Amino acid sequence: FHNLQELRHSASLANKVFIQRDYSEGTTCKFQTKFPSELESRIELTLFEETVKTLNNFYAEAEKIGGQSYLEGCLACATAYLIFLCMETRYEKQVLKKIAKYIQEQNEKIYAPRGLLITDPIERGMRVIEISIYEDRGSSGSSSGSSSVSGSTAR
Amino acid sequence: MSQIQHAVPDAPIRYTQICTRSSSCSSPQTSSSAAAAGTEPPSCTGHRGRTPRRKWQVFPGRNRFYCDGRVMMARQTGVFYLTLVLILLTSGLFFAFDCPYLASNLSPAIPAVGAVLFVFVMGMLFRASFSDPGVLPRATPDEAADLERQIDSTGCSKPPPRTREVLINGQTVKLKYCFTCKIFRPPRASHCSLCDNCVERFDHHCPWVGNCVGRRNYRFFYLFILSLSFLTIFIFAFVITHVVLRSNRTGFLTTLKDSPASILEVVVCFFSVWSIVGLSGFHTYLISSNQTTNEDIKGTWSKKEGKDNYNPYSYGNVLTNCCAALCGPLPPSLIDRRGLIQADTPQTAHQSNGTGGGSYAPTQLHSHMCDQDQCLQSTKFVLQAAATPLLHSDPVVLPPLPAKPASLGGPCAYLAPAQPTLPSCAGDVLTLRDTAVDSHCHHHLHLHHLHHHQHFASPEETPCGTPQGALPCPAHMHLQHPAPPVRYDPVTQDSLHEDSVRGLVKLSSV
Repeated sequence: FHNLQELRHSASLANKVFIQRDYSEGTTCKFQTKFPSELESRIELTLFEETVKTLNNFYAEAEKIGGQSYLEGCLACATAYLIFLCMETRYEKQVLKKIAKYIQEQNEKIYAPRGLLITDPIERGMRVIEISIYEDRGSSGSSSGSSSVSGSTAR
Repeated sequence: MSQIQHAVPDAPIRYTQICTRSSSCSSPQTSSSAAAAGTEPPSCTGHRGRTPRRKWQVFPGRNRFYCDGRVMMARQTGVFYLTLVLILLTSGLFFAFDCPYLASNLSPAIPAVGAVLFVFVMGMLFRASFSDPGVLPRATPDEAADLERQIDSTGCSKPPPRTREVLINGQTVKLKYCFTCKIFRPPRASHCSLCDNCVERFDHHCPWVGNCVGRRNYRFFYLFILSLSFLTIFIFAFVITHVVLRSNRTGFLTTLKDSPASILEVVVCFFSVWSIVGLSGFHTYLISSNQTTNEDIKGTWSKKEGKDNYNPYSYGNVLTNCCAALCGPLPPSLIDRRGLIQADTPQTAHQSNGTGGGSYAPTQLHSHMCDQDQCLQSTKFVLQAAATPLLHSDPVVLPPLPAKPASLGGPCAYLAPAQPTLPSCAGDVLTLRDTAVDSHCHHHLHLHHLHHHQHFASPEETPCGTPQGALPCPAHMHLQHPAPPVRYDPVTQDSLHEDSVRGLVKLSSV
């Protein structure tokens, strides 16, 4: 598969892997970096870990309680939260836009060529990262996903 | 087709999918052929024929939505209107009767401050009442199936299969499995029985506000009760001042004649002050120790539980806790109630409007197999693979109760290839021959019904260990009940079904 279009048209959904949340640090959004066995033949451990760790960092940044969030909170309170009619919260900007863009990038560059597809966790209520594994519909076996086709990694 | 081959071992999943999907389809099935009716959820046909529906219209919880999904409240809103009336009435009377005197005799700042307070109170009330408290969307069928597989594979070991233990900051926290939402609840989340949703950082369900109080609206709720206590004290104080000042000039009785509303205001404020100020104080304590009402009531972090018991979520000092609760980041709503229900065809971009003005970046290929698609495929599979006499165009006559016929047909149909004895008994059940049915078959059916519904991990957990007559299982008894048959109607039966499932679970859970 070379891009998402091809993936969609020529592949059939074989399986889905769910990366669960890691609650060891409390209720902050963090996903487990444990490598699921179903992906072992499809993608390198390092690439997968890189993706999950980057996502975790994005979420941590969004939920960070620091100067900027206090400022936003106090300003919002002072305007009786009417200010959110005009602008979106920092969290939304971070979580929805930045992460969606990152996931799309990762899908295009790394996962789709290997017959995989990551679903944005926000679509699953932030419970899981859903990775869909596609089998090539036409050919007998799956494409050689283990060989690193595209060398570009999001480093 | 590889899909069907893969679907065979997943048939219980498909069967579960039918349940979840039809429970979330709100419009009743009306076509005569029960099977065909069960297959096509209205949102699919609606999407193809009419304008696309929004997700709030098929939301599975017991919430009410207004303004095309922008406003979200609980089902019972009577007390909320009472709150509104009390606040509006008291404030209105204050501004109408007391403020003119106070403005002219004391200071015009008084009505001004009062007005600001009033606007703030109303704003916070609406924000707390109308926003999503942090509802966790229910698991997709695939997720639920994956979890089931994980639970089944662990078997009964420590910890018990439907709990997970997590170490948070050195404290062991148990995560429970929610049967309704089919997820493991995150820490501090709880299922609200009134709204039938799992809510993140669930505080309590407030009837006065007409909504649950959870992660996303706790600060609004707190600011509401805080500002309301200020407003109440403010009105109380100034009405008393007004009456006193006036009485000095014109006498007490004349004052009461001139401004009769003051009595009412004083009475309302007097009784409100105790409860609201008390509540504000209580929530101030909760915020400073970073606990939820739920945790406080249950005594989750109290020292009585054990010497090492402490609150792992607390930041250590009061100020940080307060700032985190009130000024921390506000997460977006997870249920995307104004989003459009996606088509099952692979579209490149999908329209979805996030709540509160934010918008999701259009992503391609999301949910390649959406719920409807899975539902369609699963039901097609059931039709194909099931013993056809069970699901054909003749109306399927059933006992009028919680046992959902598709669910009965489902596992039996699934088991048909593997265990040829079952279809006949299923057929018997479906044609309502109660006493004549083999008791073993009932038992068996019940076992499988339970197995596929509650997904019990170990056999000893199922009530089939108990003798048949001893345990008054509702579904069991109803299968034998010789009541007049009722046409299959999945939607009305579904809530009953869910309740019966929960009842069965309660009966048989450890």
